Amino acid sequence: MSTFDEIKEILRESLFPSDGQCVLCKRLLIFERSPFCFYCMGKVHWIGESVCEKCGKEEIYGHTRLCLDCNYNIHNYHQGIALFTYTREGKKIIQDIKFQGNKKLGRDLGDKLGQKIKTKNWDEIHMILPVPLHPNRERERGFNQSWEIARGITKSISSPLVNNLLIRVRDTPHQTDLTKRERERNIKNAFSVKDQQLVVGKTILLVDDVYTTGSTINECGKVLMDGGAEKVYFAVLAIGQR
Amino acid sequence: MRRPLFNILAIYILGIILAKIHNYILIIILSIILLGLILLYRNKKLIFLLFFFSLLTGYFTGIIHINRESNLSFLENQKVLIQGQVIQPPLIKEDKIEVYIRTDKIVKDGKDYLIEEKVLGNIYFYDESKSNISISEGNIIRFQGRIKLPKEKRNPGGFDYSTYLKTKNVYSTLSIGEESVEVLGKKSLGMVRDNAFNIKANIIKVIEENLSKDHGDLLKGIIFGEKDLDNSIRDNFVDSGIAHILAVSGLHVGFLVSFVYFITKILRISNPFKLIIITMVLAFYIVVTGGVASVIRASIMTWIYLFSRVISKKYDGISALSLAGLIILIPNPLLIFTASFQLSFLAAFSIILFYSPILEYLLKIRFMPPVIGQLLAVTLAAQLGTLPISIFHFHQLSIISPITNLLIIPSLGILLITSIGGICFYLLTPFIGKYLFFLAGFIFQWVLKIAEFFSSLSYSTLSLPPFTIIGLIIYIFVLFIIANYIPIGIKKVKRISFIVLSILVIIHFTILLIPRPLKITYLDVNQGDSAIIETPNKITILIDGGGYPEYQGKRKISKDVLLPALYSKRINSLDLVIISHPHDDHMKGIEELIGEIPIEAIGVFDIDYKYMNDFIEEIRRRGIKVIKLTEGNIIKVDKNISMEVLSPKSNAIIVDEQKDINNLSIVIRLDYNNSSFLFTGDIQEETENTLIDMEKNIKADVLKVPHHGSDTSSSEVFLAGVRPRISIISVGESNNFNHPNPDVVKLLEDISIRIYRTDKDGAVEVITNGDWIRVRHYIN
Repeated sequence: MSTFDEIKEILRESLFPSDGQCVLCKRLLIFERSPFCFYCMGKVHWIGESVCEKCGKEEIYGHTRLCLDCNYNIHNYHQGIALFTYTREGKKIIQDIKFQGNKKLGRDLGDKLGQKIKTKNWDEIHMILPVPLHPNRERERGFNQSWEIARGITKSISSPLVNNLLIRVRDTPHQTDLTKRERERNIKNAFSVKDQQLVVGKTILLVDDVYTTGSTINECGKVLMDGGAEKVYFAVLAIGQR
Repeated sequence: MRRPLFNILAIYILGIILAKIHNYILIIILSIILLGLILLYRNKKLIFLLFFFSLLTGYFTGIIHINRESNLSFLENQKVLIQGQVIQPPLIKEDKIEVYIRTDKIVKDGKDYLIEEKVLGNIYFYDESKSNISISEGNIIRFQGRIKLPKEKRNPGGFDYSTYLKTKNVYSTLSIGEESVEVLGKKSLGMVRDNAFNIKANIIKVIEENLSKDHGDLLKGIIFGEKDLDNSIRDNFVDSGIAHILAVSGLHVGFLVSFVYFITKILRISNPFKLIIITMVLAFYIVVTGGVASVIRASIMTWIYLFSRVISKKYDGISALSLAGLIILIPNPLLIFTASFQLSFLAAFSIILFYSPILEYLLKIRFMPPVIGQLLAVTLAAQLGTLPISIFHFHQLSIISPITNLLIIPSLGILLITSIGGICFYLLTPFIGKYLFFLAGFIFQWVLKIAEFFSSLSYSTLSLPPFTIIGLIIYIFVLFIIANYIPIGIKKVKRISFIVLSILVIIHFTILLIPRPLKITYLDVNQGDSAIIETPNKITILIDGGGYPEYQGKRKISKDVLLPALYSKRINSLDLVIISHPHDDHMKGIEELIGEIPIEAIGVFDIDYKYMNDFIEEIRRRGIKVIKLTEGNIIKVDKNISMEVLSPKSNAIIVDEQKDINNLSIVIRLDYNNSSFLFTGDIQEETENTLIDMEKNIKADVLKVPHHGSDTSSSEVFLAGVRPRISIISVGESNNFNHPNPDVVKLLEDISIRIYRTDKDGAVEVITNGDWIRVRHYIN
């Protein structure tokens, strides 16, 4: 972003603050420090302590330490973390970021996510990679929500945030109404690593907005691991229920 | 930082307030804190730097504007010949025309001064009924006038006329006799203004042609905020709590914009054009209403709102209001001290904050129609937010105003649409226009009837003392709790809120109960006497009430000085009022007070005098106790405080009305432990000598100098007997009696340590705990 754009953004955000109202109930926010009012803060399903050790979902299957999905499927990442469950409220939050253009909300929640990552005993992260949008989609929306979330994360994780290393080579349709199988097929070969040299032996944090079936993260993880990455973690705002 | 604009505005205003109370130490402390915060929070240093600059900008622009003075001040109180241009449409008032003039040339003693300055001219009518000169904006006029410098706040609760005029860039006023005004010609005021005023004049012409006088005046008042309404109609609007529709405000802009918006929608005008048309209409409205802050505020907010639609961003009322505040205040910081600015901004602010929460409550009521709920929510929100300010300025609260507003505001909308429609159509097809005006007539009738009916109800208004600072904090705290901005649904918050609130309430009442020192305020009532005594246990006594001379017409000293002073001191009723003697400059103000504020008892001299006897009969009929005071009476006022009546004896006979009545003034010595105050009314040398002959104890620390410092009083022997440490002369500025006499002043200077004069110092407050004495005066 150029300095001019940055100034324009600051001015716009001063006159039309995107966190002036509660994201969920539209109540005016005054003393709150979060983008939610005190009451809606309790309605969001924040993810607590007992989570799947692999993907970070708030679900544990039987006597294992994993969720049902992670019990039966192999994933191309090491571990993941999420902020809240993708419930009705969770959906509203993600929609506000993506379709209302509320970048600030993405950054604020990214900041929270970053603080949560810090409490984990993860290896040192060498670089943060947001899951890319296809250039067409990014032009249409004006921004990449994962990039904004990643920017928030960098407030507490001071690893370099790298753009255009992981790129989207195929413009795929929306994943929303597809089944797990269809999603996997849809996303296959959609990503590639631009410069393998930079990935080799690195511990990488992937950032995305939502994790439902995990096919996007998995596909990215696969490309990165194939490229020689040491370890891949992921961080998302919302993670699906079973 | 959620709303940086709001924080910047708040800090900027803080700077202006510190400039007004002239506290540079606080400014330095705050600046150091802000700079310290920059070092502490390095990642937010930009925002703290911005705050630091806002504070300094507020302070220095405040200082600059406060200290601005008229270039004409060297001609103060002199009669001069002036030539200049009328720059705004003149306002016709009851006994004068108010007109803003840009001076070109001033002639004094054959010398020409070429001084360009905006001044406020008051052209007084030759005879009381109506004026026979006609001037309009753009006119070049020549006239004789006396240059006056507007007065600052002279009394507790008094109006700061000087600051008010400074917000209009006016630093001196002119008193003009209408016979001297000569119209020399006309000159353009610039294209924008010429056109705007032209359209306005045409609109007024249409209104006057089509509506009766009362209705026409009302419509002019509503559209342009010109307050030349008939007084009784005006009072009806004030008493029924709907006077705000007569002062142009955001509400008016709202109606205007909705109307224009509606028309553009019918005509299917595209979005960008809509924005352009509305911008032009708003600009026109700002010019014709004389650039009032409330209209500019509402226009800016409307514009920001429309702009937010264009760039599809979420509109945030508080930020928009803050930007409007900055745009208005940076060129004119002193506006924050005017009632109209405060009311306009607080009304808007509290509608933004409280409209939705109140509506939520109202819609829970069964059978509440949403439209009525919305209207009630707007009025209630506006009223809750402006309550402390309107009590502070107007000392009363209209209880029925939510109901009257509920009836009036929709009517006002319909009225404006039919009238504006009528005006537009009249210019195109007079027939339809006439028909619309005919319809509007019914609505006018209805609006006037509502005002009349509700103002006739007793108990429609409550007189209330202003909020204390802690009271205000409690009030705001409770409002925020009720509106759910403080989430007492959360247990921890509930407990903390409860504790904080209880502590505040306890502090509030202990402060009210703690005995305070004795305070005596010698008011500046122009030529006359008046003093308010407040004892430690809240007994309040008024000695004399001043009074304007006959030729001042309908003006009332009670409205101008006494009531504001009493209310600002949170005095709601008087325990005792003493009339030293029945002369206008001591008694008239008290006659005016009767019926305005509850009075327990009135003390008068025990002498047979027709005027006084009639007065006594009248106040007895009203149920006020009458106490006849004679020499030797001792009144126990409060713990350790007593008043001794030193004069006059009862049953004295009045021969020479002027002189004898002066000499029969009630003389009182008030003692509080080791300090004493002497009140002497208008006694002259004769009574002074009697007091000494009778060996009365006249020794006092504080003397109210007899008879406004006249040379018929204050004999050397008397002053030697009193030996006052502090002398107070209650006297009017440039009065016709040449009071105080210079020799008397000189004598006083020899005897007392300090002399205060209400004509120079304004009101003088003397505070004592019975040992030490402190004096504070209102003008420096």
